[in-house]
Amino acid sequence: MNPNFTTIITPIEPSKVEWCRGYLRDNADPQFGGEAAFLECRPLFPFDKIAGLHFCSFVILDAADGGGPCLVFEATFDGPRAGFLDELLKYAPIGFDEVYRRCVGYPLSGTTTPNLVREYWERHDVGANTFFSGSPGRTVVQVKGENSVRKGIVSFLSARFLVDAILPGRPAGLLDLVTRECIRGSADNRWAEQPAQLPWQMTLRTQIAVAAGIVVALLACALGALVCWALGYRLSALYAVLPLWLETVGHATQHFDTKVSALPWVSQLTEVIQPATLTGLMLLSVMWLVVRAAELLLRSASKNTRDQHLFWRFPLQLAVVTRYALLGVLIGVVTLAVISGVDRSPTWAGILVDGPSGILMSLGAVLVVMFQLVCIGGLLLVGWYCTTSLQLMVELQPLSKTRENLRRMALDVIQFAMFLLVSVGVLLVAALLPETVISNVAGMARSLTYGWLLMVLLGWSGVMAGYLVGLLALCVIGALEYRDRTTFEHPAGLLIRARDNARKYAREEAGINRYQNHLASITCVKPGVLRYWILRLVLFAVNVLAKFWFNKGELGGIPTILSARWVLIDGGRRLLFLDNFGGAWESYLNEFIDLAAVKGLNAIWTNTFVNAAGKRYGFPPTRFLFWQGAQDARPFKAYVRQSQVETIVWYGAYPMLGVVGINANTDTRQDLFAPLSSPAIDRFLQRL
Amino acid sequence: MNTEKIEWHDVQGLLLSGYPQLPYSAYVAWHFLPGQRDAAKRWLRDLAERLMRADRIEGEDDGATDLQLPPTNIRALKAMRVGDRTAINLAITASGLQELDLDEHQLSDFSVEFLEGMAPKPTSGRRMPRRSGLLGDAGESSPCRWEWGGWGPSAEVHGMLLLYASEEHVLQALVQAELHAMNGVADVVVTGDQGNGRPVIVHGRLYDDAKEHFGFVDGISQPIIEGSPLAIRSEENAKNEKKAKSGHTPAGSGEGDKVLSAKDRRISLVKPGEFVLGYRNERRERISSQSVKPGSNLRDLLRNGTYLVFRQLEQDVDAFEKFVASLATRMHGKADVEATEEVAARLIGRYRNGAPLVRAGADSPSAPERNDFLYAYEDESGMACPIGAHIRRANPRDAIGSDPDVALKLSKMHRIIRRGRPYGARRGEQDETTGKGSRRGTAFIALNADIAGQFEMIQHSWLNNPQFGGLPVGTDPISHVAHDGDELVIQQRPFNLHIEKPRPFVTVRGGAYFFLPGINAIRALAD
Repeated sequence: MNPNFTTIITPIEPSKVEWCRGYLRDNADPQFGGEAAFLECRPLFPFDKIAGLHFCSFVILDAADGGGPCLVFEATFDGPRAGFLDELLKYAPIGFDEVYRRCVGYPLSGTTTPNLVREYWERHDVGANTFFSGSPGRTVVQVKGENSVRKGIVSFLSARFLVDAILPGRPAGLLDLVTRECIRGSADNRWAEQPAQLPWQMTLRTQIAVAAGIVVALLACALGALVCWALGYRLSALYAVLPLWLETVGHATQHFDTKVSALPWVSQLTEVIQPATLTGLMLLSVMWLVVRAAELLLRSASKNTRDQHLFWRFPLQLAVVTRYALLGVLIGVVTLAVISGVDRSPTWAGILVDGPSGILMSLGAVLVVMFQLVCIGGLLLVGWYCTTSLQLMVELQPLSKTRENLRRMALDVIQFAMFLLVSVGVLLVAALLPETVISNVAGMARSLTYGWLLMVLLGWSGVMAGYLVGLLALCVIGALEYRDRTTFEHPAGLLIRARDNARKYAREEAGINRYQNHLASITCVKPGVLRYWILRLVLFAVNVLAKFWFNKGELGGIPTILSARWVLIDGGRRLLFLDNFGGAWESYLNEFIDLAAVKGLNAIWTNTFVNAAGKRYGFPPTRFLFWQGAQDARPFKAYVRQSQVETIVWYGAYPMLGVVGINANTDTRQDLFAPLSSPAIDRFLQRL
Repeated sequence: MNTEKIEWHDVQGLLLSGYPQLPYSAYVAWHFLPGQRDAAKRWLRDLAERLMRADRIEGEDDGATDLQLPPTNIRALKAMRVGDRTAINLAITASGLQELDLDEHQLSDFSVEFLEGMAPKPTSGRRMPRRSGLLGDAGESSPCRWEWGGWGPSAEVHGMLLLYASEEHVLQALVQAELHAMNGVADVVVTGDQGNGRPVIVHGRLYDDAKEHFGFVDGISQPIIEGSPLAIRSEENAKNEKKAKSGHTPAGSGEGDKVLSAKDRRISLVKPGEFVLGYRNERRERISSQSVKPGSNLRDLLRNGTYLVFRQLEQDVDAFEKFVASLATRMHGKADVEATEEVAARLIGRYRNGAPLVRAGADSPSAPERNDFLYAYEDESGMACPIGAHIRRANPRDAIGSDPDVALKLSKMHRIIRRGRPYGARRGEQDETTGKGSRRGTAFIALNADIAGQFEMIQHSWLNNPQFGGLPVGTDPISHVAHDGDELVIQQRPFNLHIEKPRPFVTVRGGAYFFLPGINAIRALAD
């Protein structure tokens, strides 16, 4: 998926490290061109001539216990790697030759034999364990072009409509005017007529998520089946036992059933539905209400991320899973009740078969049923109105915790009531169908429902088993962290080194880095088999999520990362992190510390440590891998500064843009020729 | 609410009050004379006893009855109704601390921004220093053009005396007295060429209408420190009201002092560690000395202190008026008082009388300045108060992010206490100084515990961020930053108004990062 990336790490001859640094600083680093040009590339390294280059940077890693000094060249670009490397050699042969001549293993013939150089680079390309792009699927030309389209529309509208000028009456007319004159009518912008070709990972995002959810559910069922098999039950036995369970429930609650059946309106229902099922339904509903109430209380206990420990989140997630399982069982039981009701009352069907007086009666019966269906439809409309207003309530005014919980509960109850109404409607319709059809359908439906119930139960037990395994794993990690407390120093000790680290980041937020900054950080991986696997697993998970879920511009809630990568180097002993982000370093790290994305950050970085003044300082201690850690703000920032390496050269193709702006520009372009409703047009115009 | 007990008797009074009773003030920038270290310490020791504290020490006499002695705590100051009322506060820069012989360990307790200073000198010729880029100090506001505190040849600033008085003549007497006290030990910093060699004594003046030079009421929105007398009073009041509602008779609130409503408290109460060092902040962390272990004899110099950001901002009122008039013509077709009022309010976010644009209709004419409003539910689209307006950028409240509750909590981590005052004669008044040097403007003072996370972050990521709120809204209308192609955006239907931003109306003329120590810390420095 676009953009492509390369991380070329080549060892440098130890005596030439300072020379390389100086040379890159003096000849490769683009200059701040003032207001006129913003970023001006140097003659020996004309990065701006490469049309497909998004970002690139040079970093020199000093010798450490992992290995000798090395030169890191990081690039994010469009198109295949071979083509990009060829372009590098075409536009900057002298510069690259000078630098790489000081690297070990570089072909002596240099750029006179470009194939050898390219092959050397490709051999040293370590790629990335995890790569994230803030605007995937967009080329450099596209990013710049969409920005100029937005600017064109803004200047067109501003120039066209001064005070008292006549505006088109409808918003659609305004959009029409823009597309006609500003896009189609302008030679510069005509290309924007074609909607952007976004990669399938972006366009099919929800479908992929749904498919992944189904796969997870199936895996959970498989795990549940495994658990049952391990406990001695066989699947088919379970399947047969389900209706028996329901009957046992019925027998157990017989006394209660008779009481319930005595109630006036209930007696009508019990003609159609077995009282046992009714009691079962009520029992399940009560359980569901209790679980939902517990879940809501846990969720609303505190919105402060610093309060959300493992011991709150665990029961909360268990409650959510149990709630969904109960919901599944409820749906199954309701369906069973409907089926049994349909089975037990073929009374209307009998009437339909009779003679001419029967036809009148059957017509009457049909009319009665239709009237009842219309009533149900009316009630459903009322329910739909209530749910919509409950859903909108949250956007109109701030709600206190209790009111928010009540709102959610009310929403659930009304939705379930609507489901019940639909089932009643199905019952009524089924009464009109001939008996043979009913019994066939009923038999099939019954076995399907039993299968569904079995799956729900298996899935629930599978998920519970999974959580148990997870809890055990987290406890093991907790023990590991406890041991690390004595092995590694607390990074608060790095606070006094702040001034020594300051010269590393002297380029941030100034000059060409006014809007976009670069962070290069090298840390050592904590020794041990567990740490090895945890780090790789987390990096793999983040990589998959970055490709398929976090492709809307934000990574776990952080909306400012342009292009980031994690690379394990030196045979997995060190972790290199290269990040192009927007805004200032301080506000960027604050976002991590204060928002929910801190969990992912913790999971990766807790496996690392840094060396300073002969001591080993670990990451701020995490609790059970995900919690605390970076929330310890000052030691965390001191740790990042210590791990940071000076970025000697940095280039960005669009240094004044931000991720949110780039994605908004793409949305603007997509919306230009799409059929939009009035509120959507308003949103479109407000985005400009 | 488990608030920490703050040692107010050790905190300098400027944190708790802007001294509205003392409208005349002078900010004197001074530097130590070389080789006078012992005399300097004596001077500091003596000065520490005369500084205004936030509260009296337990058991100490108020001193309010003795009109001869100047009051040294805010309670006594408020109790005094007549007589010469004055207040003195002291702030020191990093170079000043170095002159006082602090060793490397003690110095590294302080934050890096403070140690580097507001305008660290550029090391290489090619690249702008990071701090100046971060604050947007470039072009006309570049430190090479500053009258003091910048890269010019004027002497280094080692500290500042903040002097306040109730009358003009009382202030003059106070200034003379303090200059006399520091004679031989320290000298007033003198401006370079840009200021004609004048001494750096900025005369701030709090007018009765509380307006600054662009005509806006200033200082309405201030964070309230949890554990301050106002916060404690408001909590007590709220408890009493609850008791009254449930039938118990309340004890009576008494004094007639100001009390905050529940909504005010939700919006403005901030944990003390955000402003006073040594206490817990919104992240539940404490900023305290790393080199001094608890229980040792050495004093934690950071405790009860705070960082003070001082910037002398010159304001070009003529240009601002002209711009507002032209914008009014463009937006409303006329440039009368009503139209210019509307337009100026769109730039700042409040009307000139202090009424905020959000729900501006529901005010009482006698007290239009309100601060109990939020943005997320009342004005998400920016139609009432433009998203790029000054007050919306400086304090976004609950507007940043998707969940307003979380956003409000997060925005509390980036608030500053402002104690600045306008300086220079008002436009149209007599007494305009001639020649070079800034004529009128604002002496901007901000107090915070973490310069990088609070002041600098507001400057860079909110005020001067052309992508504020995820929208291309340009930079702050009254910022000193000048970019090519910068614009102002005013939210309107059907489409927003994009206005080309003219040259900035504000220029930075000088400034520095100071540390406002606690009283005991000053005594420890003087040992």
